[in-house]
Amino acid sequence: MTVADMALSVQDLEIALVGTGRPVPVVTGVSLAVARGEIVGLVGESGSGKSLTSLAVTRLLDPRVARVTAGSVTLYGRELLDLSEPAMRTVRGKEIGMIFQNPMTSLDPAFTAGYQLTSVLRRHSGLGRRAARVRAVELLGLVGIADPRRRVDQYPHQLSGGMRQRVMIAMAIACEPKVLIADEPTTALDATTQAQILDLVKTLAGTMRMATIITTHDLGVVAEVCDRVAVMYAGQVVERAGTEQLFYRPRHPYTERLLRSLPRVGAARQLAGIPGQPPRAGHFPVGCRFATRCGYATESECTTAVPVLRQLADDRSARCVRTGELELIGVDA
Amino acid sequence: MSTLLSVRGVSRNFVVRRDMLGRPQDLVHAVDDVSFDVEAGATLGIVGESGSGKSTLGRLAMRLIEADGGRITFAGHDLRALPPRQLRELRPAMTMIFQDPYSALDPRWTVGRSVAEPLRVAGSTTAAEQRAAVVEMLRLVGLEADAADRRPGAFSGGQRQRVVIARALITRPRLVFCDEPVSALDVSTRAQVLGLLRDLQRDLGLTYLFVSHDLGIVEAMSDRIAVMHLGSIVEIGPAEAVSRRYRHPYTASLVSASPAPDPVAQRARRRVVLAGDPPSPVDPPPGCAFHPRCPLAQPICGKRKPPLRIGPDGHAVACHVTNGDPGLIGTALLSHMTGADRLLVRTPNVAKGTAS
Amino acid sequence: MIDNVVGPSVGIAVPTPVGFGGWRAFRRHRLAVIALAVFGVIVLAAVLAPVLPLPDPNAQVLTDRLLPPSAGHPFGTDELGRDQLVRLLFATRISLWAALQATVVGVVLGVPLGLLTGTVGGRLDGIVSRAFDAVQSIPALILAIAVVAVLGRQLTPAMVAVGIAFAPTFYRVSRAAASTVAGETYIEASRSMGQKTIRIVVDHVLGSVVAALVVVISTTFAFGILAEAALSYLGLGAQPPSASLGSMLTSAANLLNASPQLTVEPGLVIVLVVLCVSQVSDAVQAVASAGDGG
Repeated sequence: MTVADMALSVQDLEIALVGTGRPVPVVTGVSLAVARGEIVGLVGESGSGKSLTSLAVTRLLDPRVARVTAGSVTLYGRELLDLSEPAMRTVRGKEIGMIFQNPMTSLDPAFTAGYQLTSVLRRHSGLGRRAARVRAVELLGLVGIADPRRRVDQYPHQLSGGMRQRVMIAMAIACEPKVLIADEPTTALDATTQAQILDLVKTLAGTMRMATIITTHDLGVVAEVCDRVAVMYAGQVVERAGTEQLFYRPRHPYTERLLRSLPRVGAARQLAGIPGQPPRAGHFPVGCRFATRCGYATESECTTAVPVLRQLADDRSARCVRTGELELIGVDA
Repeated sequence: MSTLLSVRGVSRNFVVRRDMLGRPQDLVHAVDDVSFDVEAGATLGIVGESGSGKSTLGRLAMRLIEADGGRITFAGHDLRALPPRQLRELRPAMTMIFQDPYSALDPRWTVGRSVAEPLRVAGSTTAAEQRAAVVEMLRLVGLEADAADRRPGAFSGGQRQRVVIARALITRPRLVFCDEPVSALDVSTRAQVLGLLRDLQRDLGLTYLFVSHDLGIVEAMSDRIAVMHLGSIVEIGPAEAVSRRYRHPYTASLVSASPAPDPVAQRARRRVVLAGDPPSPVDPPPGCAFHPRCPLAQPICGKRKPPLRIGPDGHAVACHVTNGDPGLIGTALLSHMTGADRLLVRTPNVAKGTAS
Repeated sequence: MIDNVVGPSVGIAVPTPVGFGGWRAFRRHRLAVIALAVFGVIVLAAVLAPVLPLPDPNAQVLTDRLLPPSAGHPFGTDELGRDQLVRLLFATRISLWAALQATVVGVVLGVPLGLLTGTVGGRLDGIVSRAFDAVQSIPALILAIAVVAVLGRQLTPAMVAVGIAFAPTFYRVSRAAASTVAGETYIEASRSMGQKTIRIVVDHVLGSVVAALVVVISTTFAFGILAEAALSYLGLGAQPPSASLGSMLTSAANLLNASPQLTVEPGLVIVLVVLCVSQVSDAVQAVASAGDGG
């Protein structure tokens, strides 16, 4: 599959924090590719750069805070980083849909759900007022909102968190985009609602054949809906694999430690955290950024140069010099 | 084992709307007739979603909020009957750990000043004694002594939470109410902090009231678990019993919704995906508050609120349906809920475009 | 917390106090630093006026009336031959004192109550806030004039009245800052330790209010100067032979053709003081809000 076949392809993306003084690199060398109908998970804890990456893809980075300094983002072969802002705005509505983390603040509280939906439809699909409203009600139904004809005229404060997230999803898919980017879509939701929303995203990605990227810190979400996963740490992708492979046979020590930190209901296990913290932008060490917390790191191999993201097999790569020798333990099947 | 905290029939309502004359119009029954005991040195985990009343319950148990009714006994004292001064004297014995490490510490105070605050309030120590206690406590939670002179802004979320823990333990309390102590932290930090809490419990002989919306975390930390739904405890018992041999449909759906970090198991297991939204606490459904979303609901469920019935091993469940059928337990219950074809609760059939 | 910085976020800004870090940031606003220095000099001069070796401000030398600025009289003389510079100094003293009175009254009435109701809320909040609402509906000068009409032409009661009229602003600002802080978890933490409300207000809330208060204090002070000038212009303020900046303006108004500098000089001092105070207050506000969020 060439780059042009991939619905969305990110190559060697570099993002830097701007602010006072020189730009500080925060995300380096991130590459990602998503095909039609596929769901890719971008996993990382806070400070890993996953949210910055997903915002960079849609060029929604706040220019006072961060900007892309290198790399390319292509949508079916078309470079997005070069587009003018008006052109990008069209792409954002029509071809890339976005779902944000906090449905409470992502919807405008001053307008009804219907208004916000029809605005999107009229702008990007060119529908007239009446046709847009009909389609809006349809979309609300599609995302599982009961009694859509009543809900369409309600304000966000009249809707529950789960419903608001569904409205966000409806807005994101309204123009049948080719790509869907969900930035921590379930973090602010209850466990039972989370299950519903994930189910919905998975179904929609399948039926609408959207290339989907979900950023999350929750490996459970990944296990639930993702086909492939990229794990980020300190601004770099450290491992890439199919979901099952990642969980059962991780090839990067960070992934292994992360898996061991997760509780699992009904399987009383000793949780083991990772001591220390990830390095902050501007304080990245020479060499592997995970070395100080790794446990497998050796002075000679790991602290002298930044390890390259090495291709291990089809669709598997790991940024670890020792990945060949280490017997890393995954989740017991 | 002695009972350190005993809560009987505790309730608390909040007025959400008053009419023009100030008379209450809409009430939220945040906590409705709840009872439980906590053994000294043990951990009672309370799990529930938002609106379940779990955080309110913890604050009621410590009398940080006044209960509308019921009895709370802590270390032999009837808390609700205590006059203010004596209640204040008890405060060092029951402390709290908060959810958000970024707002739990005054950003303008040094860490040392924050950690020493409980000692200052209690008033019986000198400044030098306080300083020594602070240093000792910081070491116990894994921070350097020089952290005492820095401000919270210099620390990460996980480190700040350690400071919060230090502050909560400096008076050597007997009971600690942990209100979602790791929910705001990263996954890998969570495990660290939970490990710290467990070690401290063992070393200092603490009793925990541990509240969280995450069943996995609650199970990892608790000896006994109480499951709350809309102000009431629907299931309570030993941790293993509640997490593996659960008997309440709501517990089953929580177990089902808890993400398992295991793709094959995750996709293979039966998922109960509930229909509809969580009920409104202002206008709760009649009878059992869970019945509108419950795949097993019978007519009686909408009429009468099920009582908590206690089984032989101290495992209590409040459900009309499962109390009558001992086979509905654990994964068998789960199968029954997903097999019930009356309400195959998947989210919308996209082709039809309507919610089922 | 990089991920939070660029994503949609709900930020509630709690004003940070102008503490140690704040002073350094303040120093970067050079205009404000200069303004503060100038203001400092004026205040110092006004305070020290009685002990400096200066001629008597009330000494009339009728042969030296309306003289233009010269070596002996750097600012000239007024219609009674009195040295204008010395008079200005003493007049500034009176004006500054008047403004201070108004400000202190406003602070004492508004701030403690605002902090308390902001922290505690409830019914007390409702009652007190409505009371302050009522006071705020009265314009400051009208109240001052009314007080003067009743108590006679004395400056102090008039400025107290101005202070009362400003109290609602102090109340509101303190209350807003306090209620923002009151919702913070560390306040609940203090309560859970059994700390009393008053101590919580003093230990935790007061410091965060300081920045916002500095701004209101500056505004009130500046207004106080102008109010006093207005009152004196109307003849309701400082009475002869003592003069304030406002009364000097009044008496000089008639002599606009003969000696324009007599109006310009007190006018300039008023403008200078108010400008300096505004500059400093702007800078404090900028420093305080730069410390929020992020």
